[in-house]
Amino acid sequence: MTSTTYSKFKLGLSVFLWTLRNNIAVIVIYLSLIAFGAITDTLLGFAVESIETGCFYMFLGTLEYALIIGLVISIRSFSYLHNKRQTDMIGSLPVSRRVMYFSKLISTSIISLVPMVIVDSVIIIMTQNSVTFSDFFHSNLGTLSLTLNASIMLIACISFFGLMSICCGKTSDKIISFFGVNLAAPVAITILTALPSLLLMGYSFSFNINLVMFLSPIFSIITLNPIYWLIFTAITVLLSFFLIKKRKSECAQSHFAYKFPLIAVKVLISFSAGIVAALILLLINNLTKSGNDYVSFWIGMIIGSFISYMIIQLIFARGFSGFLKSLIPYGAMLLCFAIYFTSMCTGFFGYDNYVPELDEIESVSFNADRSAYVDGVNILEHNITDKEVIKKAVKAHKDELKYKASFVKAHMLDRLSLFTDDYDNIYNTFSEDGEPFYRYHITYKLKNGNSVSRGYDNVYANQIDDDGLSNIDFLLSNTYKENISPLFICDKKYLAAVELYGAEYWSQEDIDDEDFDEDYNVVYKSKAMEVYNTVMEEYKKYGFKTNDLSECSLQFEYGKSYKETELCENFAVPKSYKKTIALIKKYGIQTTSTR
Amino acid sequence: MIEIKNVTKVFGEVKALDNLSFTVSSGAVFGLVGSNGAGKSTLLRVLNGVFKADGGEALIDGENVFENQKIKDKCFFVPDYPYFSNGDTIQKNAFLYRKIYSGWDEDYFKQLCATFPINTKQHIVNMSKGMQRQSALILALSTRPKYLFLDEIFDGLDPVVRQLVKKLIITNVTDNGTTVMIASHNLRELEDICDHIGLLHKGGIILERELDDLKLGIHKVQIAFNSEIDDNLFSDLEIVNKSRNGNLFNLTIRGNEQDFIPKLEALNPAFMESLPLTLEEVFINEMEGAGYDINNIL
Repeated sequence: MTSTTYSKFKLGLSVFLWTLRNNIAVIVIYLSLIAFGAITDTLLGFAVESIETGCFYMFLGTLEYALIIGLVISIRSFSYLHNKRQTDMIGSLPVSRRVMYFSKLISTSIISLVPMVIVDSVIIIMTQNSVTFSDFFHSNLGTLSLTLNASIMLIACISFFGLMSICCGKTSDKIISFFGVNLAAPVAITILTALPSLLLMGYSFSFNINLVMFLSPIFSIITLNPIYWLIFTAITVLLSFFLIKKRKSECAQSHFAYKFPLIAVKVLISFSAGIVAALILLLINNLTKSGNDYVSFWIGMIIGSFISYMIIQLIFARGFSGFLKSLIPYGAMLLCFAIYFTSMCTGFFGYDNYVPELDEIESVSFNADRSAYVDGVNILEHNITDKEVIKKAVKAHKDELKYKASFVKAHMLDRLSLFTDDYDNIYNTFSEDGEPFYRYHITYKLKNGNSVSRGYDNVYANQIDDDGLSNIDFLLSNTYKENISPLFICDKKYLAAVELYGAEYWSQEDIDDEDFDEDYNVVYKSKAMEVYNTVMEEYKKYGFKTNDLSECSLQFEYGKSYKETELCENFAVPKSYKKTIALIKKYGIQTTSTR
Repeated sequence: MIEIKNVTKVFGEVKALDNLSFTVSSGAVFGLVGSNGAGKSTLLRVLNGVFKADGGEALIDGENVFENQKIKDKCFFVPDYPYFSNGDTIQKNAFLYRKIYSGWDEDYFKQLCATFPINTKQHIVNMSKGMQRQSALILALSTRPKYLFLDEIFDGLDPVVRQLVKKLIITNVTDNGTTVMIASHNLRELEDICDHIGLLHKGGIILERELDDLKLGIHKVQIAFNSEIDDNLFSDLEIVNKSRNGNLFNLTIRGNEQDFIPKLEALNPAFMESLPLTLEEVFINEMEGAGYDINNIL
């Protein structure tokens, strides 16, 4: 056993060294690119801003080169699976398929990784002397973490590419499949998960980067989820381990080695193309008001998916032979999507109208769809058990359903927009305008342990429908504000700073502008707490009403530090908050009344 | 010993090898001949573990070859189009083979490099077809294989190198007991070197015999008569092919001369001559017998 293992290791090492030797030219190009990129990026960043910016550019540049070179070497390394002559040569060698495959996988990974890690180490050393100790510690942890993520991303990409190489018979198929899956999967998943928000009342789409990118290792660096990508790599490696041995060599330069990936790739790409075409046609139809939404959507879906399916089939099968038979999975895909679409349109088996009974509810929360983590704690988590609040929340939910039901049926597809603004982590609970609420998201925790979550976008408090129904006053009540605003639900210890403004609220872009000369200041720690306490004191005394004229405004920043703010809450300070206004003036801000 | 037991290999709807069975004894030089698409190259690939047989077994020294590192270490396969990547030189390839073949013989490698008129540091892809084959053969022989599989090895070689290759193969067989299997359409070369011949057609084997037996077992006879005779007079002979021009007959007869000559002499011919067939003639006759319609092809 030991002898066999040693022998396999020895053979693997031989193949590894041979692959390394065969890729010397690519390695030289890679190192030249990295060296050139590193110098230019550093100089560019230094010229623009600072050495740290240069290092950051260099890091990104290195990652790009590593990814490109990794894929180029992967194409070369695994080409023995797609070239008949190479298959003859490699297949007859006294090296098992697994040893051959994994030796090439490891050598490809190492060739791609090592130069990147070396350059990243240089970045760490370069930043060491240019920043303060605390910043150095932080920035280096960041670089280390990014390097680790980038390394895992590279390995995930190469292992996935290897798996696609095993499944495909031709190099062109392998490249199309790899990039097809990486690009089509995020599109398909995003639209598939977002589509119910166009069709299904109560469904609130929240973009989950991990879900959207779960089949796209080339974008894995964005997700910053190394654990998942390690698991992904392990699964691809495991699949490769089993499939490489069963793969028929004769599929080289011919056809896919396995049917399932062939079907999956064709269906995934055609579905993505179809759904994008459907949304484009729907958008055009909405803009021009020229026809029925459903008809436009489905015409787009069918035309887009069919044309893309035909093109892929043409490329994979090198012609139209067997085209009709190949349409079976395409038909199945359309059928499944039609069922999914219809179930959404018809309320998904009562999902759209369901509101739990009062006696079933244990607690409610209004922020369950949002999170802000500081030291691993979600500072926004806030479960309300107060019976009165629950009762009001349920009534508001039912009112919203009643209100929406009056126009939803007529305009299913365009009643809501996929392109609503992202209000995540910016709160305007205490705004001076009269319509502060655009969303109502409620999550019920039931006594049986289940939870029910519903979200409504484009909610405007105090909307009056044709029947004169007053809609969800609850959203304007102080009870609701006190249960959704970070000012009330977040622990004070997470208040990192308070930004003080004059009469108007300015955006960060305005503040960063060189010509910006309005009053603006930031107070930290005890001063921030002093501002907070004063505001709370006066809130208790005077309350807060929308349409109150504000004197100035505040932005409460929550997080580990001001630089690492996780969420913020704007507060328009009413003229009646004299103590608060005096405090703001004390910190050097000219308010409206003093100008 | 190579044992092929009911080997079947299917590509889609095409049966490349159809329940094929025969044996090649150790130390033999086995010529594999057959029509285009008969399955010769497929058989070599199965025997080298490149393809896995869909049915039956391909055994070398009693063991299945597929994914058998120990057996593959004893074999070397030179395909009809040997693969070399763009930057490959003989030396670069030797770097790999030296490490993975336990039988690699460095001295023999150097000797072969000196014997063949080849620059070992030149990129192989830039070489002529014949030189590429020579490069592949140098590497193959340097591994000192116990089983050597050659596909169309004489293709593109000049007559001098062809003689050299044949000599090297024979030397390996006699000195090392190497078993050689050569698939080729060049029957003239096979005739010189092989001691056994297997004739494949449509994935099956038509015959598998010692070359001498094969050539002695079939004869071309030219026979003439003074008077008109009936065709049926030859009915008790195993006639493979027959053509007639007046009273002159050209016959291809299967069997021993001692058996059919007396029968023909009993017909009192005016002239009779018996000649052994070349391998090419044997091939054509056997293929005709197997339904390979040469007249229509030509």
